[in-house]
Amino acid sequence: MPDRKRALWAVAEQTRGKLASVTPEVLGQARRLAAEAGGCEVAAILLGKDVGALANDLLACGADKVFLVEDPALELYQNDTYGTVLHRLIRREQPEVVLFGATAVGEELAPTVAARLGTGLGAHCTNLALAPDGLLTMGVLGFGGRLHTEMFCPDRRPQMASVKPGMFPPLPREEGNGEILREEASALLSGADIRIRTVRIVKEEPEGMPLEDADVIVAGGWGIGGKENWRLLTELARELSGATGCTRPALDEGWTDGEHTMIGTSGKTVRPKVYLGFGISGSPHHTVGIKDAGVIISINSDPRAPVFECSDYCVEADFRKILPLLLSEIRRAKVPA
Amino acid sequence: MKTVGREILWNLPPWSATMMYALFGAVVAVFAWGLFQRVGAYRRGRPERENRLDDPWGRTLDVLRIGLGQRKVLERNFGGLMHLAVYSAFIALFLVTCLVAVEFDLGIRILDGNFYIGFKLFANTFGLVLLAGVFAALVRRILFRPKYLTNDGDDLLQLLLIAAIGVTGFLIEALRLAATRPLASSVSFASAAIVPLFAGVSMEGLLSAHRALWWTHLLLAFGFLAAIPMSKMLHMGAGTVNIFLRTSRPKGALQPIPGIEDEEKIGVTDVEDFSWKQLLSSDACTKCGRCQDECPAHAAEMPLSPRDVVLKTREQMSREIDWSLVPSSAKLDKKTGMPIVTPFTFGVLSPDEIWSCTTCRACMQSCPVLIEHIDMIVDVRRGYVTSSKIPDGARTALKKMGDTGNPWGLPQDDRIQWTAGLDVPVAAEKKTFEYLYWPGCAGAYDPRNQKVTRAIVGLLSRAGIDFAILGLEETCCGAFARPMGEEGLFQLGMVEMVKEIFASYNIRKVITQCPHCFNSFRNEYPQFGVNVEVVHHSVLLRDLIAQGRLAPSRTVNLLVAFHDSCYLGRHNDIYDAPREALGAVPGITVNEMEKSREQAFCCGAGGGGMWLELPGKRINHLRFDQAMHTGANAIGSACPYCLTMFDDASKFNNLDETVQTKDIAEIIAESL
Amino acid sequence: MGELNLVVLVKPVPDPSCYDRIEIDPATGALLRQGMPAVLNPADKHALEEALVLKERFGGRVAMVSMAPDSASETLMEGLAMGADEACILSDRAFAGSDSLATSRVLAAGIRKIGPFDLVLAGNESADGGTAHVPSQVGELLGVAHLANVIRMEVGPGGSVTARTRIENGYIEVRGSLPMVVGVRREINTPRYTSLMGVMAAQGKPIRVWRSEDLGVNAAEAGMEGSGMRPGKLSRPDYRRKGEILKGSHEETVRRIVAILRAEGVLG
Repeated sequence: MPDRKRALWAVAEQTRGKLASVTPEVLGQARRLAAEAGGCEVAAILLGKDVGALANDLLACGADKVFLVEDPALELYQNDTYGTVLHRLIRREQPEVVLFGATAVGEELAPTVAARLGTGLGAHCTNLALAPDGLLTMGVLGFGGRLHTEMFCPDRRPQMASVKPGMFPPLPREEGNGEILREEASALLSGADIRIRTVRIVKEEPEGMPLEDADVIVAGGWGIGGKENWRLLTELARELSGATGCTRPALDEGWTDGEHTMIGTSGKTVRPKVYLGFGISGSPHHTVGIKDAGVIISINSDPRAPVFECSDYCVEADFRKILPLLLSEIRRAKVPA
Repeated sequence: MKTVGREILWNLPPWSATMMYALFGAVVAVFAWGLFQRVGAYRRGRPERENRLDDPWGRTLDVLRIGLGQRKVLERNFGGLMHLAVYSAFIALFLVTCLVAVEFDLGIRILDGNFYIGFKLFANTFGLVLLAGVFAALVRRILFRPKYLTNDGDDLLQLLLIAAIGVTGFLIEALRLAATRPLASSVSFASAAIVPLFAGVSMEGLLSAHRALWWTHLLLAFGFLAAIPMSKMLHMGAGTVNIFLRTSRPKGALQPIPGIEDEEKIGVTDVEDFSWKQLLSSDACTKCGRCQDECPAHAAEMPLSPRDVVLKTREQMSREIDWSLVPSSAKLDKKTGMPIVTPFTFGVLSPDEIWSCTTCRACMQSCPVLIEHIDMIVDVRRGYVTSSKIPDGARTALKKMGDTGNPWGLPQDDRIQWTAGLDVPVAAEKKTFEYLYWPGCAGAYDPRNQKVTRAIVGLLSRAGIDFAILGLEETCCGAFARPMGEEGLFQLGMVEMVKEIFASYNIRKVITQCPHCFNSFRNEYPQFGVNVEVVHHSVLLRDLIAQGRLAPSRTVNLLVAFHDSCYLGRHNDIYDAPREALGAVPGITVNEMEKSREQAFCCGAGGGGMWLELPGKRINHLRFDQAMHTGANAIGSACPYCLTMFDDASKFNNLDETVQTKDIAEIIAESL
Repeated sequence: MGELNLVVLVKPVPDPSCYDRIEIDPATGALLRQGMPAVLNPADKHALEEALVLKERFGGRVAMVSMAPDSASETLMEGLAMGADEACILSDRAFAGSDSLATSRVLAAGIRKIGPFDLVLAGNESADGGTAHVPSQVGELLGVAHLANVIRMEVGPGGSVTARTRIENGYIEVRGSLPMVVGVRREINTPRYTSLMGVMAAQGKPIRVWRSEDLGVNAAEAGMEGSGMRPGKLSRPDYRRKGEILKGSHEETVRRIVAILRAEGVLG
């Protein structure tokens, strides 16, 4: 029988009836933490309008229990409504730990709730551990990924943390037989001070394979030097059925497909089987995002480029020489013998 | 009674003289009013920051050579000759008119006898020259108009007017000849030639046609005169004055802002922020378009025409908010109730236009009336910098120059990276030395140019030059900060820092490899009391070879297209030294590009172009193609920025393995 | 719409280009920041730029507020040079060890002390700590509307606000009204260049320093005591790999790369 007092909560995130990819990751980690600490209850909180169907998904992803709050007012994420509901639920249920996905929404919602509760919050955690006494260790990266700090919230409860997307694998789905608790939304929302209204949520689904799902990532940095050359990278990625990534400087130059392709501290953390980096000097802001890649191959004409230090294979050459050759060699290799 | 002369105001009623004088009075009044308006427009400008009246004899001489002597106009064959025709005829016919006036108004009888015959020959000849010039100009403008010429405003009107004055002049004379059949009428050979046209016309017809045409001719000529201050013909006066007011600065030096610390407003945001001299110079412009034709940015389809910058300035200074002229439909600012006026530097002039300039000086080199385009453009950039609104590339580069002392933002510790493995004497240790060698930011930090720097150090050592580098004490000289409009950073930051370090080692002679540093030290630093003898490596290497201290002997088989860096060439008139140095290397053939020396085409890096992303093609790609057109297999230059630009262009064209891009120092080093 | 009272929260941070050189003192386990010059947190400059644009449009004042040591005044000069009218440094030994919520309490007290405000802007996150909590928490503590991740913002007549906030693969469009606290992302604008003359002109602008007693912040609200979060062990993550250099001609190198791709099973 799980200890109700020591519940681990994961705040689910959904847009238009679709769970955010970080939510199963957070639930999976909550499950693992519960096991580490010798068994506690894992609950998911789901807010929205007509999202009941997702509650079963949450159970399948590792939740013992789902608090389901459905209301037309919760159709679109609004800081004021979501914050009020969460704050009231947490105050009532007193969980030990509350985890958020560190998405843009989580980045806003978590500190709002933490401020209302007057408790501590770990940001963009890349590591989480739960001691049997219930103390949560939150590993966070600072200084552009160059400093790892362990944070604790010893005195205040709940212990809150946002979890960096892409850090923890979700658990295999398991049809659970947990409990779905429908909450009275109107009570939780009554008197909420709504100061900002969401007009609409626009999703611009990017073309091509998302970086998170790619087995091969072809990434480029400032050294690529322009849009014309960038096309070669895209071509290579397509040839390898992979995705194209970029660094902050390349994004700022406007050569890339957009912010969703940026890898690193302020972008994505990726874990492809193979990462091919072209014209990337290797600032920590970028390399922290590829630390979990299987094999890292870097091509840079400057033998002193720091990227070589965190690569498995280094090619000291002008990418303009290597890329076209690589393209034709891959095409040849793919032709069935 | 004259023997072969003629009666002035023949065939005209007695009141004609009075009428003519009255009209002339009106012409003078309109002319004076127009001039007054123009002067009023110039007076909107700020005071001039430099003395433009010193050395009056030198200035007069320049007016005689460049103005009267048409020296710059004649640099172009067709346009030059055409202008010379119209211009000389204009002066000649003006003299003719003066002689007539002397005789008629002063009652001195001069137009008689042989003098009259000469006078007529002279007048007829120049009348024809005028018509030929105007005709050529019209044909060119209408049928074969080059891209840099426009036909708007009064461009065609003025030509047609002049043509009409000339044609009516001849017709009047021909009618008079036909009617009076005077002695020696054949000396008016051009008019006489058209007399047969009037065969069969009655005497009465001839006389009345003569009278009508005489008045037409007079009105056209008077109208032309009266309109001068309002027309492009004002260039006759404004151009001459502008030549007289030319700067005494060396070519490569921008105008400093004395007492910049206390200056209320730095740079141009409104047209009034130009100096009165700059405003006047805009009236000197004749829209000849040569600056645009020579402009590399324009050739690369970037949004700049130096001529348009000048013309837009002229238009803006002539534009005043005259409430009676504001149409009732004009948009009014809701807050202030004032009409919304297009801001000068963010509307009339566009930032992209102003930032497209590479300060290559091709425009100023070609301008027949010595307009200082670069100073105008840099003044606008100074205004952008003051208002903090500058493009990303400029902002990043300037910020890095200011923060880290180099445009790439690399740490100061890396400034001596290029010395690795070399024994380069450093000032702090060597204390006394003849030359300071100044690799500059590009030579010190850019991996490609570090190779050039190492080659130069090798050559200097080999030639036994007593030199040292500043090493970690070297900093950015500001040669790019200044043309990018960051005058404060240049004057108070960089110059002061370099001044101090030069003083601390008592530096007298400096060797640079970067023409930008070279130009800055040679032409700009003296404005702030820093006087060193600065030598560019191309000159030093040429001299060392001439003195036998360097003897290139190994054959280097290359066909080199030599590219003149703007800041070595046009800004400093160094054209021969690099060619001679290259020529001393066995096996080297120098291929001249079509645009070389004074007419050289920029590489695109100057004036901040190195760091800017602007609409249009890339100038370095165009220049690379020009070099390839000579059939060369190498591009030689003597500037780190040019080298970088050609390196990029050769890679862009995938020719970096077949075409070598080299600094002349590298070629010489290879030959030793 | 009258003039706007604008507050920009800024933070001096160690220069992000130096984060490669971060060291941890082996004896104390503390972070060594020597040789890392302090700069204005990059995202905060975007917040300041947005404030300056609003000031240009509506008139008003821009005050910078920073919880930082007294020495921060040098770093804040850059903000004054950009065009802020004044800077307030909230500096007290008692603030040391504040977590994001305690920091937000101090900042909120500083904002209140300046007087009535219409809009508080901040960079969405700092380059060093990077929690991204402060804009939301300051908003909560001030009891006004707040937004994070703002990429576009428009203030209309009467103080209405429409804004876009960045979310993964899209954006949220919201509507609200002043007063408000917003955290802005870098894509919202491009901060202006500050010329050397601008920096010199900023020398005369007021920089105030306020202590905890000036702000009425007691010890239990700020610093270690007022913070839920406690830091533990610091370490430098090691991202180093074997770094084998592929030698030989371009063709050989390319064949090696293809072999690696095949071995990893990613060659279609």
